[in-house]
Amino acid sequence: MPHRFSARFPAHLAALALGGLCGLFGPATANANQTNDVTAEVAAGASDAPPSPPTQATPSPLRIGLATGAAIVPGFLVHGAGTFASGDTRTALRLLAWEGAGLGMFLAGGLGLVFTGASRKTVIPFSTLTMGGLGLFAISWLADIYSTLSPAFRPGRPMVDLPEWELELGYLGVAGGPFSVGQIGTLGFTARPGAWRFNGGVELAVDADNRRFSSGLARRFYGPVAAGPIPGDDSYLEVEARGSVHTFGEEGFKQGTGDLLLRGRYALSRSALRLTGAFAEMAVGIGLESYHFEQGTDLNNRLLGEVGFGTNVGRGGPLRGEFMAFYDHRKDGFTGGLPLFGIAGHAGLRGRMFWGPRWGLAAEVAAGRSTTGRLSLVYSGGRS
Amino acid sequence: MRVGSRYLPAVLRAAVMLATLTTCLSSSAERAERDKGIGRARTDGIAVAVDAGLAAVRSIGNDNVELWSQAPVLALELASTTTSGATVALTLRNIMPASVLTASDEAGAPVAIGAPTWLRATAARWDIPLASGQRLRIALAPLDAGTPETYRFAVLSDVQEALSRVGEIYRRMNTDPSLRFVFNAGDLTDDGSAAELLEFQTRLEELSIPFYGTVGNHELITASVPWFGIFGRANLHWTFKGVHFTLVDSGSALIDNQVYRWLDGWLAEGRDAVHIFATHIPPHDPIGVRGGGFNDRNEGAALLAKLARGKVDLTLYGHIHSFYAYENAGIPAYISGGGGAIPERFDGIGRHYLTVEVDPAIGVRDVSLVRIGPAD
Repeated sequence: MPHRFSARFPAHLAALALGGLCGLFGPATANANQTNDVTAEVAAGASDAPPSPPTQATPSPLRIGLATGAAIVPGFLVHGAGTFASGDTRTALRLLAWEGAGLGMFLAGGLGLVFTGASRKTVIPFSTLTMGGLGLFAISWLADIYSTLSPAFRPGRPMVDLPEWELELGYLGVAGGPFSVGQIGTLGFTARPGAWRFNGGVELAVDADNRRFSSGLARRFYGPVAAGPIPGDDSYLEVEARGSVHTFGEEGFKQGTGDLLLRGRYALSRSALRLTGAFAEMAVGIGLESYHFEQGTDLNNRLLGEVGFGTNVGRGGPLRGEFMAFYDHRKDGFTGGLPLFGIAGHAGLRGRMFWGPRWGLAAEVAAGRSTTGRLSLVYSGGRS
Repeated sequence: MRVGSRYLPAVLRAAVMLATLTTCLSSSAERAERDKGIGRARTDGIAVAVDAGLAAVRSIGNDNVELWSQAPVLALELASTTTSGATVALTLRNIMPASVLTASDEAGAPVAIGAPTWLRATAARWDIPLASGQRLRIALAPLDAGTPETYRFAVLSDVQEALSRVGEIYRRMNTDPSLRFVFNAGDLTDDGSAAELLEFQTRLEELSIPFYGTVGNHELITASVPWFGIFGRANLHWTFKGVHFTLVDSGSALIDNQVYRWLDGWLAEGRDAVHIFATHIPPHDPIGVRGGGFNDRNEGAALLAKLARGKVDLTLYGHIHSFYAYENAGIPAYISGGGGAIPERFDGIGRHYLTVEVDPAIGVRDVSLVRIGPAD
């Protein structure tokens, strides 16, 4: 297997993909107040090394609690406040800078939308800026909270040993919303030949005439790949094409989609050691969709965007995984968009946990026009 | 500066709107429930019940009642609730010019009603003799209401912060005597407060024809949604000269399940006739990357499929401050948000309204754009 990951690849390429904010994501530097040596160990790429015992005392629970409280109030408005209270001024300022960049993007995009009346000719850049700005704002705030808590535990290690293929069998429940569908069985597969990823899935309702077929193809240009060398973290950058056909038999229409996205993950340990074990994700793209009715077919386009903040779980042992809070600008699928006058997609929490080399669980809860919950049993195979 | 003075308040309003998005806005289900109570009121002296809730009871006393009409043709019941009779002053606002009121008793016998006092072209007062315990059926309609023939109406939406300038549009409409009424797809006002809604009604005195509409998302910014007490229902259906009109509340970018059930009935009623449907937020924004449609695109598609199965002839939307002509689910669709709210730039449209010519025997014959001033 050729090496798909190159250590010579600019370390901040992923940051570029995450919003063109390379300058803000400076390299992690040790801080005099850093108390968790494990974070430095992981950031240095020693992912297979056994965890070292702490060499410095962790902060008291009281101090961690106070710092976490500061990350919430006034931290919601002044990101980095919790980290500052923890004594890490450098990281605090970096989080504040992320917040400032996020607010700046949000204001630039939002004002652009207002002043142009959401013109069809300028809506793509302004909406993307608005969405990315809000995403960066959320990431910097969640990172501040994580930063205050991280001294209390050993950070998780990223799942960089990707399996060559996976099968998923699961259940999707839908509550609320305009449709009668509520119980759905799901089946999916993923194959990762080298830097490529193929995936497909089917979601079949058992209580309604409703079914959705999806497929995707992605090429990873940077980051861990199946059966490849183990990189120091799980930062990646990839291009993804995907499509779906969703049939609403009782309602009398069929939706088809075709999307193209640029997707990246940035391991936050690259910016601050105390953020080791956390990551940010962003994706931007454009899509086409068709709605087929008995009386005609409507064609349209759609703007795609995803943003997430997540944490790795596990220390390299059999129990490992990750969780991520996410926002997805799509307003379709079984979840739809949040009830915010039609301007937002859906948001939720998803995670994957493995308890051995083969078996794991994937779960997701999301809120939009409907509330959806998904739970799948995962079996992974091939070399990893 | 002119630009600053126009856009700064808009920016602030947008900020306020964003801040209130997740707070105490009414739900579409609550609004559908409030619809059920529209057009009914009683005192110790009289009781009034408007068929299908097609008028808001603006005030009621023991010998007077004032209604704001939401349809060209009204039917209602006026009843005495006391042991003594009275002459009831019935004031009807937002009615078709030269409408004729007739009354009959419980046995169906006609009851003589005196000539009305016309307050303006769209408002009049009748003195109704009401004996003790008597129930009267009252009907109001223009003389030609039962004649199926071609007629025209205007479509105006998204006035919002241009409320002070809306008179320019009314004066232009008044120059076209063929227009029978104005049809509105929401966002009359900027924040939906009682003060703004009442100002809107006051400014309607400049218009020589009635104005029928539903709520937009801006009417929901004031959490108590005073719309219901001032204008009436948010979801309604009526017919005029054989053409069916349905207005549905999509102010929350969705439609409540109860409203879907009402819509099923209204679509069945109008299936074999010309049927015109309007709602504020388009199910799908024709510019998909903007996404200014429903919260759930699949819900939008489900609504369109329902309308197509119901053989709706025309769909009218607002919300997007421009003009679009397209098809959805095979149904001709028009977005007209040209009432004066901050316009979509670079579209060459500007402030405008539409005129629609409809033939009950054939369908929609023409939809035209009427510009008010230059494009922004």
